[in-house]
Amino acid sequence: MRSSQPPSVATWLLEHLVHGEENEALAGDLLEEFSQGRTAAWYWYQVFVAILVAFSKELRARWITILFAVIVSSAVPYELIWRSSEFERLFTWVIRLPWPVSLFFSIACWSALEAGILFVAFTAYLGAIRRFDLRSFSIGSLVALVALNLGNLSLNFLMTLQLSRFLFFYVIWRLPLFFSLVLAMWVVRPTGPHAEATTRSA
Amino acid sequence: MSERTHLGEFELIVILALLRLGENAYGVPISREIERQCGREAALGSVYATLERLQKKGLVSSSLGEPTAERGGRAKRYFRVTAKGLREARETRRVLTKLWNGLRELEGQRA
Repeated sequence: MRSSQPPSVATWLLEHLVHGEENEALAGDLLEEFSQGRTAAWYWYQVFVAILVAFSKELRARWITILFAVIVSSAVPYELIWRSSEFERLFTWVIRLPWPVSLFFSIACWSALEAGILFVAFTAYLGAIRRFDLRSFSIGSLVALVALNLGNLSLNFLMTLQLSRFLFFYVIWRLPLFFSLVLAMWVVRPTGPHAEATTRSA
Repeated sequence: MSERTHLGEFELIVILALLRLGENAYGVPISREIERQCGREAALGSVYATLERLQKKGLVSSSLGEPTAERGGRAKRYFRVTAKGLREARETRRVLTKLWNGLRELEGQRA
């Protein structure tokens, strides 16, 4: 039987991820259509498209933050770290631990290293947009840390695939840091009529 | 000379749908009108993104309606084409018709 209420998770995502003055009208339209017989799948599809459109709009409007994340994630010498004797010793110790402790330790060690880089870059970003306060820093960092750990968890599975060295060191390994930094900057982004001007001046 | 704004395909479709709907042009009817006329579903998110862009270009204006219970207390946003938007639509039709005319490949029903 079809529920009289639309999927609450989808509504929550719509309210929190799609900003702008059209958001309320859009949410009302979706509710109106749902009450007139549209399915939950239709509702999810509409929310998904709205989020995608909002995200691509943000990317276009704030391309400079994306460029910043690309520069930061490209600057980390992953191959050098991987081949260093300190890392080799640590890695050898970690893989000797019983599973899944070894998995958690490897993710934690790698995430801790990247988190240091991320915090420095994120602090610089907050300073540049003149929004450095404890709340913004905590929220952005928390979201970024979750994303970073999830990204590094998926990397552990990707490592089992036979991928080329170049692809792994220069693209895939950098993705968790890139996406977590983008996410942190997106979460604390300035919104409202002066948002684009603020970002541009930064 | 006034500055020209070039319309994309979907922008033109949205403007034409607004003109067809007249006073009752808000998200749901606009999306349905596009579906009826073009035979393709237009996601509401894409329609609103296009309307926002058209508003920034000054081709469309909007006003808020009354909130209703059916919409969870949210107001409808009504859109209408501005004088500039109307001029742009006419100009786009003129240019497209000019390009269309005299093309033998596009005349008749056969491909």
